[in-house]
Amino acid sequence: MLDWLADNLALVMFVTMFFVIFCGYPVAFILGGTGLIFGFVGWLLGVFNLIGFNNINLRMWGGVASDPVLVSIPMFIFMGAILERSGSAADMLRATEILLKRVPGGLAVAVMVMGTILAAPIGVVGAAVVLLSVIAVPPMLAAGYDKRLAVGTVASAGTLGILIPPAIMLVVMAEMLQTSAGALFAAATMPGFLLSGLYLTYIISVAIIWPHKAPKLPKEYGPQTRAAFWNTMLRGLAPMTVLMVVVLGSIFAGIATATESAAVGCFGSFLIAWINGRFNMLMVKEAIRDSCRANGMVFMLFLGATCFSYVFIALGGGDAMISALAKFGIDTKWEVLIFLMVLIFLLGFPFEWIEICLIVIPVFAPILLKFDFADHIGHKDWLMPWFGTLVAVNLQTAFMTPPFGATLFYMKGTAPPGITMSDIYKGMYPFVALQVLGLILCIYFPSIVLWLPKVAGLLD
Amino acid sequence: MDILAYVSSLGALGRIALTAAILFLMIVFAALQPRAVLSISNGIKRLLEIIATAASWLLIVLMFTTLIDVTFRWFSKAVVDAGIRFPYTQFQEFEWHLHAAIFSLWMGYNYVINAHPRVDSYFGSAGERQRAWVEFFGCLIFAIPYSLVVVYYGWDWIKIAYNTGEASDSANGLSQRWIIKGIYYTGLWLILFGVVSVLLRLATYLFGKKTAEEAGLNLGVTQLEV
Repeated sequence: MLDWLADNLALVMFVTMFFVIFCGYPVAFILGGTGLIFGFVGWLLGVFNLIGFNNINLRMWGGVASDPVLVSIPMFIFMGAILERSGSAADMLRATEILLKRVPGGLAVAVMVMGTILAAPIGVVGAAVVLLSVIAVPPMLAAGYDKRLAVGTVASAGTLGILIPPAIMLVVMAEMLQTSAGALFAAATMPGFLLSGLYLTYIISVAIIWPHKAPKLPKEYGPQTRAAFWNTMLRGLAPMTVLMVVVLGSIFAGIATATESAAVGCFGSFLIAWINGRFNMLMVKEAIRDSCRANGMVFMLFLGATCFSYVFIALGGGDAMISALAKFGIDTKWEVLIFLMVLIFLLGFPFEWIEICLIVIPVFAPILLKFDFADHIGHKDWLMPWFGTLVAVNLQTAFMTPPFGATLFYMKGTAPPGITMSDIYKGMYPFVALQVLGLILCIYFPSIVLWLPKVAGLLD
Repeated sequence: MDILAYVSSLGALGRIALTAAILFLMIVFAALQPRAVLSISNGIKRLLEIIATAASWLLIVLMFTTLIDVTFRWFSKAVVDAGIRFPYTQFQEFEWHLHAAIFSLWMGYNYVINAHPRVDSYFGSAGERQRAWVEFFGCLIFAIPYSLVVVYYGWDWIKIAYNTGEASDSANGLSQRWIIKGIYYTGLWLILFGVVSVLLRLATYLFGKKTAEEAGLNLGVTQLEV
């Protein structure tokens, strides 16, 4: 019995953690504490040396605290917080609606376009969904939109934020996959636009086939004079577009690192707030506080996960996981890839992206790395950007899939009273189907993912 | 330092027994003197809040440091022509120094304000007292041991950095690495403080006949915003 435990301690640890985590205690401490307990058990069984715990601080310091790329995380969160709290985001949605009012399903199309552009700087699922839901659902319902279409549009537009750069999930994932953040940003861009395009096609088709579900906006909607129209465009749309082009363009062109472009983006969002006359100290204070809190949360998880993954690897977890998978007959590269996709999708229900990035990816990515996908994606070294993007699309799908996706609960929390949970579920199905289609396309045609990083010269 | 030498001499099992004894005494004290213990807990919370609020302004400093760095790099040719030797390496190191300070000094405060994410499938529907029990055992089994271990192993690490006068690997980098390592190490202590503050609060509620409001429990479902 003890021999069996000593041999399989890493697997027991992994399984135990997944059960314990459901008790509801903060995940960061559960990860750290589980690592500690199993390290201690390993010491009693003679397969672990307690001095190994010394490595927690060394790794936390060397790999996390002194990593210049991770500095971009608080900066991007801060940029999003300023744009959101200063109301610049709401201005932008109004401007987009007015611009698109003649398009079938104009309001829904505006939300989707806005989600694609703006969810990017917000880069934070909860915040983007809540924001879009508060400012976009009431006008859509007032205009006579089908409530399921309205809800589905908002929820899926909001979740695009974790995929379209500069999403902070991609920064963390790049760290975990040991690839460059710029390459992963570029890799996730086209899939993001692909999904956004699929959604738009769906919305416009619905608006054309069933006009009662997405009625045309009256002529009186929005400003009536040419001057007022241009003023709205100039204030709402232009600054944000410039900001996104500067932030992403400088990364893709290779003239700035993610951190530098994030700082420029922060400064830009300050400028936009100031131009629109929405700059005040209270807003800045709240934005700073929110950003520091979100940042502290991310890095506390890093601290806990460092201990967990160190002990897991030290107990021989990597090899144990491979042989366990082989026992279940999962040993060719496609089987492993599909197994990982299904696993990550299922884990996306109870977990946030950050937990998946910090727990699951360090355990499974090395296993996938042992296989050679060169015949499918063109080059051995392109695996990580491709795989990272697939995980990102997959997680985004999980977040919006009924009945447990996190986005649905954010929606329910902020939607007007008339909308029930079952409306939200039914609204999501078509979008989830499109999402799965997008994921399959990205797997089957890897050039969707790898084209932009190749063109930008980020894959060498 | 004699205390530390004594603790080290106990061996792993001895250290666990010592920690358990101290925790037990703390809980007994909380049960007998809930009011005094609550004011200690609130004092710790206030301390963490002051430190975190002060540290949060470093975010603005971080933004401007990076902006200056970027601006000089964009005009690097003109800067060189003007004969200025801009300390790029030092600026870049200072950026992650600032970031390390920000997150280190927020981790403990985050726990006190219940901002660390939970998997709340069960927790969200459980009653107040059940949640308090989960949190209580969670503190004892996971959080306290973990924060103690990182603090315990952190001390030697920081002492070496100080004694050897550790500096940047790069010749043009910042020296005095022990300062930022010291801030990180302080952050580890603040995590321990935050956990102790919550643990004492829970003990007054569970054993000291204080209501949840009096104890200031904050065990709702975490509002995740990332």
